[in-house]
Amino acid sequence: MENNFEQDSFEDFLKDHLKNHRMFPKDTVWREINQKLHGENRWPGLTIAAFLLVSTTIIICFYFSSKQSIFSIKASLEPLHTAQVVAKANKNGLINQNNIQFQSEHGSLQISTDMASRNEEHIVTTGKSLQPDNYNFSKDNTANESTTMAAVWPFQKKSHASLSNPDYILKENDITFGQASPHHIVQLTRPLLVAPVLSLEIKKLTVEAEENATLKVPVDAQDKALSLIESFKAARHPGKLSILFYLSPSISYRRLVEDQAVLKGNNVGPVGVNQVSDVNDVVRHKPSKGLEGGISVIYDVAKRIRIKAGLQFNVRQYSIDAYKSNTEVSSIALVNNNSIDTLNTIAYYRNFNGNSSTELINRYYQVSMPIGMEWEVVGNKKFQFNVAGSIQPTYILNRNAYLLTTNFKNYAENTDLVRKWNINSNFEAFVTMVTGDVKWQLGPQVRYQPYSTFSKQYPIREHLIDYGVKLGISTRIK
Amino acid sequence: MTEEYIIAGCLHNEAAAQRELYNRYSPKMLSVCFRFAQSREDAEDMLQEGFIKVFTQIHTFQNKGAFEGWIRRIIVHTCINFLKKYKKFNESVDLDYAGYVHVKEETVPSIMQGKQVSECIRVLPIGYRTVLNLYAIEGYSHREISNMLDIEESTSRSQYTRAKSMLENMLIKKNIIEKPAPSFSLAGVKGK
Repeated sequence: MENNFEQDSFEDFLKDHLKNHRMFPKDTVWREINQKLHGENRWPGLTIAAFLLVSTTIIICFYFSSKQSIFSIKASLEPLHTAQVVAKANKNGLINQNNIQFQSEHGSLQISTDMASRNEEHIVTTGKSLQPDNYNFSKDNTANESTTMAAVWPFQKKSHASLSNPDYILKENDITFGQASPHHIVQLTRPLLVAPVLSLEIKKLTVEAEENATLKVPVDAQDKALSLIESFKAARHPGKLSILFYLSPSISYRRLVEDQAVLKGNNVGPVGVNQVSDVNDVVRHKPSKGLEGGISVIYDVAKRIRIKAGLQFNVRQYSIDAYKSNTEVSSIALVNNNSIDTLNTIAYYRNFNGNSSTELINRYYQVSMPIGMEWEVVGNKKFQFNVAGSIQPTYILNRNAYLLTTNFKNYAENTDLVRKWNINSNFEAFVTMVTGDVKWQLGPQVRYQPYSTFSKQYPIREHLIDYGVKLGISTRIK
Repeated sequence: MTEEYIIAGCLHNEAAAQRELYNRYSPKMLSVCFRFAQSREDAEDMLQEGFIKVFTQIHTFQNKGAFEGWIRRIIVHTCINFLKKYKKFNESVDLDYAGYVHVKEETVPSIMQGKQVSECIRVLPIGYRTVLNLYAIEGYSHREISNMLDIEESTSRSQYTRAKSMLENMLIKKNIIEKPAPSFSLAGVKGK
């Protein structure tokens, strides 16, 4: 024992005793400093998921582009001498591009584009040979080789009065073709369907009187015509597989249920289970934003029934109103075969009174493999209404969640009590709209986790529920 | 990593240098904060604020004194601002009342002596504790303390006297120091 007062140096005594005193801050202090200095680290999982989705989309788009199809057809050229484009007049006697048919000795093709709603008529052409002399198809030379570009050529009718007569036979002079202008160059979403027009030679347009209001166009570009036929065949027999990309912002909720078997049981262990009040009455949890993204392959098993499987990424979270407190030792009761064991853990946060209020986040990153079914309830070629459901085996990537201690007093982290694997279910209703080769879907969905987030020993079961709106885009795999 | 290298790295906002500086000084600075704070969480909040200031103001360090001293001054000022900001001084006891503040002996922990002294200081009412920390440990004058805390210089002196007295009593109770023997008794006989 020292007698420091004899030295009359109280300040020195304090300094001596405190100069080597050290305390070690929690890791979170540095993380927050670092975050404030260098910004919040972007969530790598979302970045990776977004990158995978985008890159997969790009790869699939390129892989199923017409370029490859046409190139592959070129390798097996067959003689083809004649082909025709037949433009039939509609009831009003007007030639509509939707009525343009391509015919050859190998078959015929109805050309359908999205330009039908326009007032002016168009013929869709692609490729170098179809460019009018005075118009450069594209300033970019590479575009001339691209089969995914198309020029929409407006044409004008000289005599509307004559054309209105369904018996009128079109003559060559009745139609003049205008020049393609830049805004008429479009990116084709289904290049194979437009590929037939590659073989049009518009300057050699002739009118034959064999049928009512028909135009016949001789074709001399054999390879392009062949590709037309092949592509036409492909178009007539689309594959049964589609690929779907989807994203679903959601609101994440949770449902807490206490293990009634434990509450009613007589085998009380070293820690008494709180039976005073319902857990939902003593916690202050708030729903938060979640996100879902994924990719699915869909197979048509029947006209209106499809099955699907894929890979999905989810973020689900909810917030907890809590209080900072001094470090406390808390107990979590664990139920084992109807007996109760105790897990002691360190808690920094309180559910009730503490030093200052704070917000905790229970956030889960999940990867799952949904397997499900879709049913087209009603619809036509353009719009459909569907319902779907799936079962989703799920792997939880992170397991740091705040658990309520047995006396409901503290929140403590314990990764060992969070399950690695779980199962989720999904139900959705959506409307689909077909635009060209692409089908869009939009509708509400519910995702529910029937098994608790935590292991079965933990007496409070947490079931996660997400309510979201799903936006998807799908395309046929040919 | 030398201190010059760390400072240079921090000037370039390099995370590795900042981490090194933090690792080197945060334990000592947390103990400083802890003596001012009401709780460990408050101390860590002070430490966090203080180090952010250190990193953002490091260009103002002019190599005129010890780097640790410069950091310590920033940390101490951050602690004072923190206490003012969250109005912790409102929890202080009145000077007249302070003489009657009874510190239960069992609230004073008895662990290692450095920590024990620190814990004894933390048991003091916040006003006393702050003045004692600033004057006895950090070496500020009463005039500087009066400016920092917006109090009269005389108040600082009296708070320190009371704080010192209370702390001495606590340290004696914990047998960390001996009760000083009076130099002279009233009868002029030297005591034991």
